[in-house]
Amino acid sequence: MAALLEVRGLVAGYGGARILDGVDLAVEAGGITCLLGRNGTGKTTTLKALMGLLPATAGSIRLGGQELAGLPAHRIARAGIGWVPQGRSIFAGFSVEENLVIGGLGHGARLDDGLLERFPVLAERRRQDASTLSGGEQQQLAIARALAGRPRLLLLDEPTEGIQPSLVDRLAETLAGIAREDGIGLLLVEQNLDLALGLADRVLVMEKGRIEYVVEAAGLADALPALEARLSI
Amino acid sequence: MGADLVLALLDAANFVLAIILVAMGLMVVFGMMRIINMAHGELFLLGAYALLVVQGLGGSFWLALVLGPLAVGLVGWLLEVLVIRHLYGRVLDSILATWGLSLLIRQAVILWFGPQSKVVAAPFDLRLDIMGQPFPAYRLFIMAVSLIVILFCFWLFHRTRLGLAARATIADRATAEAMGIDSRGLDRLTFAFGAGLAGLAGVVMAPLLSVDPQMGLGFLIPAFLAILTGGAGELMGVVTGGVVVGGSQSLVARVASPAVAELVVLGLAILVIRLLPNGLVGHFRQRR
Repeated sequence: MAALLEVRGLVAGYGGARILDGVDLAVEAGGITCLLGRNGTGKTTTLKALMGLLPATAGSIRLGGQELAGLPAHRIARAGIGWVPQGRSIFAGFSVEENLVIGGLGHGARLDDGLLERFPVLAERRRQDASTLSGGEQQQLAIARALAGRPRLLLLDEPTEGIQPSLVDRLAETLAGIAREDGIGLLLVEQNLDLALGLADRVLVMEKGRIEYVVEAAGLADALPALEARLSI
Repeated sequence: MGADLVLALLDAANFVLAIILVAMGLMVVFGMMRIINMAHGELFLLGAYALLVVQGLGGSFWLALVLGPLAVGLVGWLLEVLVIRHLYGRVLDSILATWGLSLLIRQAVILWFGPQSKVVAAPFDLRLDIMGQPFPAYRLFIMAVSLIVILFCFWLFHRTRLGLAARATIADRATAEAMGIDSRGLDRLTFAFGAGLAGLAGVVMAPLLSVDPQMGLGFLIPAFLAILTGGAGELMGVVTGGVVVGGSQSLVARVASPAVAELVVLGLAILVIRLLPNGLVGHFRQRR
């Protein structure tokens, strides 16, 4: 089966600095790929380059066979990539509902009730200013906002950052549900190794702007020592 | 005394609404794109000349009222594509470049139409009797147009999906883009819309003014003052600033003289901006 997202030789950077040095990766529809790595190895840069927020200077990004490299971010979003950024980037001063509507705006999608049913907390607070939500609720909002655009692939940058440990499991369930029930592919950058191992069906380790190590779900248990060695500081 | 007071208030309301009408396009462009458009007065000028041209060709005022804003909006669209889009995030450069554009447009108008002032006809020359005093009905028309523009802008930015996309883009451009919002398209649309509003103001105000290449300046200064005192960046600011600047100028001019009024307004504006750098609305919004 051809992958939903196929990235080959992706190169990107800031100014003269080449941060990504030929990234290859793939995400299947309904699959969860987790991108691990030490700080500064290019994980967030990879997501930004995929989203078109940072120009890719070389390489190919294919979503369902459609080439996306070089397109502006809004075209990439409309092609079916949803964005759940680091720090969540909720629109403060806008209501929860407005945030969700914004997520669907560029896609011509109306806010549907199914989305609110999946996130009951957001339904309860739909009229509230989004900046008054707790960290965990804001994270749910960021995910729901991305889903409002009916993506085929979600990019998530450290979704568990700054969230109470007791809520991390719930968040993991939500993400697993999005992949299994909706068939959406997830590419997840995570620092939380336990979460990554529990959720992912493929783990990638980034080093110096490249994917240096790939483990498929079946091999995760055996690969644990090697993974820990690669991620330790 | 009663009639005097009513007329004074009516005059003040007229001036306030005229300033807001001129300032609205300026405000939309500044609020959305952080571009201080020094050529706004010249876009206003183009609106006035559009009326002159349409009337010269035998068209009616009402035709110009439709064509003028469209034509000036198109000019705005071209300016955004050719010049303005290179200036985002560069405030000083944008002031210089749009100032250059203003000179260019003004000189082009002089080359085309000559430096002398022209007169355009109001669509109706009706005088209403307000408590025994005559008051031109056309001024009420301008006030109505301004109110419609204000309400339309509030509706557009706060009640439509397009307005929501625009406000999301102002709040966080990169995230809005990643949500699928075409921020570049919105830039072009916003600048064209702001220019179109300037053109509309030009058409509507022209019958009250002498149409000449310098006419853009007279209203631009109070419009800028209104935006700064009210608080740059939101619609409520321009409305509040228009009321403060226009109201005080008009009322002081009546009890003292127009020169004193200008002094009072400038002094007031300096005081407000010195004490409340975010303007009146910005100040109270932050404290909330």
